[in-house]
Amino acid sequence: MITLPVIDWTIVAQLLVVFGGATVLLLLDLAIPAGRKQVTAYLALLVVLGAAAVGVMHAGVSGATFGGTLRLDPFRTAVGLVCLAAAALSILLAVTFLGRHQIERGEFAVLVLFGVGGMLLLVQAADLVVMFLSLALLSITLYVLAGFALPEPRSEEAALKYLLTGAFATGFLVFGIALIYGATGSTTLATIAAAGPGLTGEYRLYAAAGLLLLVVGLGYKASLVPFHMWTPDVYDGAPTPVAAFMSVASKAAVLAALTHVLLVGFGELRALWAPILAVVAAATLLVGNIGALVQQNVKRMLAYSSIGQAGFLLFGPIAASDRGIDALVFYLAGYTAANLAAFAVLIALEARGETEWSMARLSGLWQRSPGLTLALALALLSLAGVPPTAGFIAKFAMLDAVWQAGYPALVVLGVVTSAIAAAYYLRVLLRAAGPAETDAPPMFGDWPLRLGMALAALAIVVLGLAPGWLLSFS
Amino acid sequence: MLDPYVPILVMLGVAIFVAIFVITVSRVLGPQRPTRRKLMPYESGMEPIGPAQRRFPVKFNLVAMLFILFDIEVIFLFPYALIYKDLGVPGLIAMGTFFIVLIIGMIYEWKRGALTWD
Amino acid sequence: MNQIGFPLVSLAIALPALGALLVWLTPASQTRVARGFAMLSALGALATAVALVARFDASQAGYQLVDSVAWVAAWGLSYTVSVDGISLWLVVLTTLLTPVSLMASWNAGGAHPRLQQALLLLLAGAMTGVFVAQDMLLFYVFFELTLVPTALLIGIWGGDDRRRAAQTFLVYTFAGSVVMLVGIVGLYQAHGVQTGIYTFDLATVLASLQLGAVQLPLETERMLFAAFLIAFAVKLPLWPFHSWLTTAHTAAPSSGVVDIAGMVIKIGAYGLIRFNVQLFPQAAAWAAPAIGVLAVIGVLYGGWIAFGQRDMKRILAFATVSHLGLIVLGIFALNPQGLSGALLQMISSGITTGALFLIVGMLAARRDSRDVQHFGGIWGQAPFLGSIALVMVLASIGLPGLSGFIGEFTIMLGAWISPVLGWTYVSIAVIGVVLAAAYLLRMFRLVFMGPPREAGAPLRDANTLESLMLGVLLVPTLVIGLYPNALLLMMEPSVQQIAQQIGQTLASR
Repeated sequence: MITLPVIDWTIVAQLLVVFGGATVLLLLDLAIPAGRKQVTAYLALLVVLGAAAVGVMHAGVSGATFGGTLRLDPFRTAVGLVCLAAAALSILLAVTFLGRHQIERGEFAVLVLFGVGGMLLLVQAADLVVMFLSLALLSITLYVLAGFALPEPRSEEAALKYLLTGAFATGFLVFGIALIYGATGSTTLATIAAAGPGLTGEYRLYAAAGLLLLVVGLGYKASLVPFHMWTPDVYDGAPTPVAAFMSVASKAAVLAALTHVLLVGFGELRALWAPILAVVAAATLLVGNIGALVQQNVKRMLAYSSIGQAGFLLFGPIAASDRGIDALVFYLAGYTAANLAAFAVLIALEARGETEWSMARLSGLWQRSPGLTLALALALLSLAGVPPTAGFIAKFAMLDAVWQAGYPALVVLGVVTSAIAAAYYLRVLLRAAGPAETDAPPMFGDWPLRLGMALAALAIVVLGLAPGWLLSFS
Repeated sequence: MLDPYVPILVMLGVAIFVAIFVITVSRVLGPQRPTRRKLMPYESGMEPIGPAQRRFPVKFNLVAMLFILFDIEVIFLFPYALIYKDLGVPGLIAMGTFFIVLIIGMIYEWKRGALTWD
Repeated sequence: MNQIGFPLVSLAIALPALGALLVWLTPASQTRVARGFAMLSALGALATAVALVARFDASQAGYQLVDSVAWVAAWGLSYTVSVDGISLWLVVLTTLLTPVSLMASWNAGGAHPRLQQALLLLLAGAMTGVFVAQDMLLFYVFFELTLVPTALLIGIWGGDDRRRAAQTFLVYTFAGSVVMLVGIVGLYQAHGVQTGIYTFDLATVLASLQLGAVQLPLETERMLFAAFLIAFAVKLPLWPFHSWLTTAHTAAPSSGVVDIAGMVIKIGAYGLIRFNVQLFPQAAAWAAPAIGVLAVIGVLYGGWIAFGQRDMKRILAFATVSHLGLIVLGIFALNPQGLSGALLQMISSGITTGALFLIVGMLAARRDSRDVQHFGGIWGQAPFLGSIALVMVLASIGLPGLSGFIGEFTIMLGAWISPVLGWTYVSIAVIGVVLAAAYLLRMFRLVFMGPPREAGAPLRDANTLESLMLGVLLVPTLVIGLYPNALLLMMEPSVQQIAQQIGQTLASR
């Protein structure tokens, strides 16, 4: 008699809600007539909210199940909630956008659900194979979503580029997992960590090489330099709500996974990976922010800026301390709110067939819509790290954490690149405050979009003014 | 550590060597008098029509992909068949769930019209 | 709470912010209501500042009227605001200039009046916050908060070059201030590591540094000093970081609305006193000669360039650079005379240069030009404007009996007897003071004296609103000039305390 592992249902409850909801919705959607697909989106929103409710109930819960391959702790719960919030807001932003662009299909919401399910799984994974599985799940949904504006060549191009680079990255990932398995005889992070000190000679080398390949594979997904090349093209070509979703949620999940691999699985090799990661973070900060400085296309600028932000996010694992972890969660939350608010403004101004997002289209915005301008201002100020927004506290927390970890050079670099970042973020803001330069683009202000934007903007302010409750969760 | 694999490496080397050796020897020693007929793909004398890479409907691809999907999932049945007695009722529930998910996928693609040819 | 059980200091920050919100929420058609809200909140802040002066105990040196609420307890971050002898009068100056800038905004008209007033109020609130924040990170928050309203004020209502000017302003000052963030992180971590107490509270950090609970290695202290110095030197601006200031003043709206508000951006000088000098006296004494040289160069350079300008706003902008050089010289004299002179000069030049910017704005609105050569002989047509301008020019060049004299004199005195500077600095800086007399009187002569220009239409004298604005600024100019002790008495204990601590540190060296 083989005994199956006992499943702790409280731990998998959130995943069950998301995947069960997605599967049922896939069937339900067949019965919803074309043109009424908003119903599917709202149902998906309900599923996400349900999963978030489970997440809130998970506060303080720690444990593992499925033989230690799935884990739950406050950090995982918090990052999971950030992913769910990103999914909920993205659905809100997309609901009317899709209809307006005549690409409304029920699968959109279902794919977002599967995607966010993959992210939750990635965050909760404590085993390399589960990580690989969840990464594949979230990647495949994102490939499809990137190409969602199907007859639009740019969207197809984005999907194909993303698919090819993603497949390439997956190769690295699998090779890395294989090497690590070969060296340690396990794919579970805890076992790998336990085996670590006993490794000698070539096995140690294999494990280290495997770790580096793993970082490469995850680095692609998190668009770390030098694995970032796909980012601007994909964000630019993908439908804007999809770009918004990708830029925040998948980054959050991948960063959490990277943190687990590094700190839990290979904490012992910190002397090896920390300097490498520091160099990667420095390169990411420089390339992302300098790249953004020369962009004239707002979507590409946001893509480069998201690369730059990824550099800051790396400070969390580099610091490798409680402060670093707290800072990482806060940074993810603040970045998610700010980036989604910025994309929401673009979505509100994007009519069908408008694919070139030149900066001039934002000019004169505040004379037409002070509300949109306020949202944009909050978003950009938060991304730039100007107080009293969430971005400022987040940046400060990160700088503080890496300083404590003994990397003052990274602090200086982070500050210098923040100054560069401020130049391009605020340039957009000044143009929005300035006079109109082109024919005013049409504006869309339906309630789901407004609600999503307002929630994101509110989160920026609330996190900025009262950060304490999220900063000391662990 | 990799000692058991050394024979494979040797075998690989031998194979590559033999292939190159045979071709080179026949090229150097053999007489070569090419004619147009000899250079044609089919020496039977049949003229080839059109390029080798023909275009064919993407529908074939779709069906092939769906086939592979279900085919691979069926692979799970083989190990299950060997140990289903040991697993007992929990195993049945787990496999049942797996197949329900599979069937939902099936229903979805059917309803979406992926299986209709025209 | 605090000894009077009422958050008076917080009120001075909150009132303008509340006013900005109300103005923003007022419907666009209700101009008068919006103005009412704006002015009411500005006057409320002024009244609060006056109440602060009344409640202030002049015999004490430390922070008074403290409001403190934990913000992020895990970090030791708190919202702590209070006043001492150094910040008190700067708060008064801010709240005094706010109603004047609002009136200037009404007078100039212009597009989007609600937004302009809201931004002016936000700026005032943030500025007050800078002067009263006693928590390092809170200080940084307010410091940064002043940036965006200023940039928008220039970027929306400015002249031809406004976008570039706003961008230059933002990039310069933001780049400068993020360097300060490194300094704050470094100081916070050093304090936390050495004492086990992670806190941003300025008083605690200061006490630890003075009592030796936190020992900074010489290198570290100098690095931290430099981090703060860069931020404040850019903000001031100290020569050679001045180019954003002249660009910003030139591109800012002619009416002088922003310039007058910007006059209070003396937060750079305040920061130098509060952080560089108070926290790092060793490094300050070490760097003082070099900074003194930069300051003297600024005095001369600003004066020299101002002398050659025709655009009246550029003359005043370079005059500001020159004034700020003198203020920095006073601060880095590191003695009570220098410090109180610098504080007095900050207040005095804020009022006088601000008033001159306003007068230039009024003239520019009448002639549609800021070129001195388009004016001349207008004293006869606008005697009121002329006489106020004369008073402000004389005050600015330091005529005894007006506000500028006492500040300049004490700075010179302080620098002369300072152990780290000396008479050479003073004797060169004095040339700059002479230059100030030359270029300001030249401007006055070209604009108001001489034969009237035929080209220009008759020029209207100040209207009621304009007279009111200038009158409000005239009163403190005279009061400070005739009875500087009113201010000095309240500064005295705080300034003495700082100077004493520096003296001890230098003596123990």
